[in-house]
Amino acid sequence: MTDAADAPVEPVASADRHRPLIGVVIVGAFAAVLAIGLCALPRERAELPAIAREAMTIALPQWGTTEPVNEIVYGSRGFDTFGETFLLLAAVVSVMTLGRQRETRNEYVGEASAGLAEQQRDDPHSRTDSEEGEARQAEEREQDDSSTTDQESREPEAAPDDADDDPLGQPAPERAAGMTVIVRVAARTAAVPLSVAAIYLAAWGYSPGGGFPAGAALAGVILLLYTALGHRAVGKVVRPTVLEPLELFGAAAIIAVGVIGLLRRGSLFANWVRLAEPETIRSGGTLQLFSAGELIEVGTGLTIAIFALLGTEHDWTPDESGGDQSSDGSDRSDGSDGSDASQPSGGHRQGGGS
Amino acid sequence: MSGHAAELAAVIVLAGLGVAVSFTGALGILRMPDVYTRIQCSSKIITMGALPLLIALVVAQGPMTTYGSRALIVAGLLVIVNPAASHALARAAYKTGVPMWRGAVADEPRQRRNTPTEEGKPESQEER
Repeated sequence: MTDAADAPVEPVASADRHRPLIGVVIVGAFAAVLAIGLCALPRERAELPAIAREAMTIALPQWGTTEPVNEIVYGSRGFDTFGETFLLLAAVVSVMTLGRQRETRNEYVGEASAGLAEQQRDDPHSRTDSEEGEARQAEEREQDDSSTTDQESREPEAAPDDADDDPLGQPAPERAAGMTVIVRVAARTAAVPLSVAAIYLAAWGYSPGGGFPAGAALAGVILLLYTALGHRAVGKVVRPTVLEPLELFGAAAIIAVGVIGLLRRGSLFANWVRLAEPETIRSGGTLQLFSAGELIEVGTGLTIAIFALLGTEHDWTPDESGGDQSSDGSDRSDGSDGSDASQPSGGHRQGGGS
Repeated sequence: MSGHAAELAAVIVLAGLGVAVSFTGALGILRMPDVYTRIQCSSKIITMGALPLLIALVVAQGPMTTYGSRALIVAGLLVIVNPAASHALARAAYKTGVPMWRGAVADEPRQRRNTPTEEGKPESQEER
């Protein structure tokens, strides 16, 4: 079993001379940055900057919170955070605009395969004898005659639920929606404390944290569950009809908190809630409302952006324009010059637009 | 006083152990010949490198303090997530055909795939 007849090529053949050099340069640069940062740290008794002293002075009497950082982020510099939040919203909107599909979707990923599985469950014989199946097969044959005419191999089938049904010895790609039982159990177990920690970061507003990191942590939990369990597990929540209204609700709540402060107290994001006891969940007045809106906005915004990017790979009808272009392009560029080869791409663009 | 000294000694020993194991793990990632052995080194950095450091923090600060409790939570999460991540990485590497080191002596999935009854087909249920 140790013979090297069919053993794959060794990945690292020789110890390259430049690797230690690059390592030394990178490690040296990192050490220099670290040393500069350490030297630039303020001394223990150094004077605080003016904004920090201001925040320390007004955090407890004006806002009823013991966390001056949250007072700065959601209080006296609330307009700054407001700008950041709506920059994120603008970025999410641009990602969705650039990555949008030709047809409206209910889910970001996996809708095609899910629909296929459902169709097979409801009507097992539909694929073999329906008009659509024949038309699709004829279309495929038309597109590439060179491939095998074995119908069973080309018949698309629904991906298995998880990787346990897909033994390790079989070649890639792994088509299962979820990963193996080890990953699924670990992700399920870890998701609970992680989401509690995320909520805690926002809810305990009188200690370090806040809505922004909490929202990022929640988006991470959703991504973890999607990676481990597959799109079918998170599909009920991670869909545009749920996430997009939620995100806009978070944004509207932030605007409302600011505008009510402007109307009732004379400045944007001024506190207009009666202060609760310090060191409780409700302490901090409107800081907590702002933070909660931020949690919703950031959590849903990051999730939408990530899944919009993930969904761009899954084309609704991959056999239409993609296969057309590759087969045409390869055919014509083989036999003729470059000017001819540029034509199919133009034709493809027209076909895709119509 | 002696209890304090013992606590300090435990902290130093645990932190030293963690740093030493992390160093050998980093060395292993640089020196090991293929992905699968490197994954083994990287997971060792977490389980035997980061955990002693976190336990040292718990010993130094007390388990129910601000730092100690969070160190315990992080340690628990690492113990759960790190093996799963290593498993998923190794499985993905094997599925996509990342080559093994030439000196590797065992490739059990390939042996199981090649030896059973039918030549091309993978074994189904009986060997699992």
